[in-house]
Amino acid sequence: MGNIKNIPFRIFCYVLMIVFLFIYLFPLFFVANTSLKTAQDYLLHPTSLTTTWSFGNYAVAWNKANFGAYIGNSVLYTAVCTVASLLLSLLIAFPISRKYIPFSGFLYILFLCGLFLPSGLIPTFQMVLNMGLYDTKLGYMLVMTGVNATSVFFFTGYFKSIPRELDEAASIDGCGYLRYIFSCIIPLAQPAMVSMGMLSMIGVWNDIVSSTIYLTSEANYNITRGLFVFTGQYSNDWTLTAAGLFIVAAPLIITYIFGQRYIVDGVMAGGLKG
Amino acid sequence: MEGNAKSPAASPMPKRRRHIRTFPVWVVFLCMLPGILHYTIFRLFPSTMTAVLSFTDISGIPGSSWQWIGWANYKEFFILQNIRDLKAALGRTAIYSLSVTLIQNALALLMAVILNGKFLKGRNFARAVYFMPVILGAAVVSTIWKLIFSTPTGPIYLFMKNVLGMENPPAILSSYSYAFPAVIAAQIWQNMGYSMVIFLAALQNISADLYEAAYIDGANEWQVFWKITLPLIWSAVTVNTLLAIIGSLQSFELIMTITRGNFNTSTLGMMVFATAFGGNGATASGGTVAGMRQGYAAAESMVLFVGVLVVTVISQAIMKRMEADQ
Repeated sequence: MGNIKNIPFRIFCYVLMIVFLFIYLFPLFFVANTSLKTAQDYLLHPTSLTTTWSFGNYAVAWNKANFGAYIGNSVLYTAVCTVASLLLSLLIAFPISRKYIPFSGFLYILFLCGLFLPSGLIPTFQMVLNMGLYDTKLGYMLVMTGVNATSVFFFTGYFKSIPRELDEAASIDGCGYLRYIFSCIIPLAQPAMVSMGMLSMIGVWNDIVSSTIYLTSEANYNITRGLFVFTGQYSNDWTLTAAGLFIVAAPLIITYIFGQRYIVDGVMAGGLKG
Repeated sequence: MEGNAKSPAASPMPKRRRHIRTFPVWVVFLCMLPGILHYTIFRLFPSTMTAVLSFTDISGIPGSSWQWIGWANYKEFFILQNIRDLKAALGRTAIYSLSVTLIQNALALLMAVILNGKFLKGRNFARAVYFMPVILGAAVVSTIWKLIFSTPTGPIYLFMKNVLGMENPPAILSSYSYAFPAVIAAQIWQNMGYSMVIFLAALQNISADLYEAAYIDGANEWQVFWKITLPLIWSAVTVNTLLAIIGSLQSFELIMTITRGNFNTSTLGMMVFATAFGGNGATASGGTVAGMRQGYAAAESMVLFVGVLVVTVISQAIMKRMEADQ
């Protein structure tokens, strides 16, 4: 659109883009600026640019919010749940896309149903409670892992672009199924894996609802839960809260900077299914 | 080989060749089994069990006894519970969902159309910036907005005081009239980029020739948008509308993290959470009720589910009708 030289239209576009850039960047900038101020400086001149550059806020926030203990949990949860979810989804999607098992079509529909089913929050909680997994790392990870309908959909489509002849050649050469999956299919499906992996990582890292429900002892907290509790406790010390916020957001922002293309691809795939 | 040798011209697609048998079915199935089991146990089973639990008085306290109580939970929800609270909660859920869906999609469509203009410098940067809150998650986004709306040092407060010259600006997030719009704004701020990316994907599929032809025929941007762009991306409009409706009806992460459902911000989704797992804001008026009433929460969540289903079906029908009218 706008390929003709319609100058007012172009100005309109630029103005709107810049207004929205402001709406999106200002909060982030304000938080970053606040995180680098001393508490006193912030109370006296909340909107001025920082002159003190108090990077010490980050160390203080890290210690006070006990992030050192929680970040290990978050990394563990994120790594385990992401790898497990990807692997489970992949092992489901591959045979379905090849129709290697009976009722492939039915299974495909069954997994896509996951998109529309009600969440089942309460029965899941009851189940975890009765299995004795409440407030355990294992219980939390079991809940956070899942055969994601979007992943199954995305992988099924992607595998169709890998020629079936490859399966046949591999099996004739005596390559086992799992070995074939790990040494051929996963490397070939790398972009799809990265897209879905990043979406899953972000989801687990950011989880706040399930960690509030399932984790009560501090030893099991993930870092977002730590931030939430910290914000409640130090609700008036905005410089520390802002620093804590950036500590939690840093891995997300770094992932986003390097993986933006994969993440957006994954989201587009998720949106186009409907 | 043998099939398509006869008449390749008559059937351009080669007849399906019989596949060589590859991996044994039982091995393939065994590898699927963990996924199928996990999905059945942690997804299908709980989803259906919600309906069953809604007829019990089960609580979230381990080891406590429970019994079947028939329709009592539903009766309490629709009749016994303060009807004003129920109306307020349902109304608020409707307002939340409607305003998020409409505003988020309108803004996303506007920004997508603008960022689709090839002349625009910095459009990739802008796209990346608008999308960023999607990946930041509720804990981070809520903290950002708590800081922005904070009193008396937050920028919004200072703006109202110094620029708008208000004597006594309200504390937005602890105000019964302003907290709810603020949460809606935060929700839109967070998810606008998501809808925008889906619109952009659809826009990129439109051939530039169509626009060229329209401009040569003397159409202006406005006409081009309504006559070419919108009809061609209607499927993306439908998808985004449904995603936003379903998402906003069910989501309560930002409500939970920003106000915990206090100050008249609790929607039905938030009520389910608060009834089941404790916390404030379980009643629509913001009062505290004892949490962990999971049977009752299951009934609330069934009401929510039916609501989502009805709204989805109706809005899909409306979108279909609108498509036909174009």
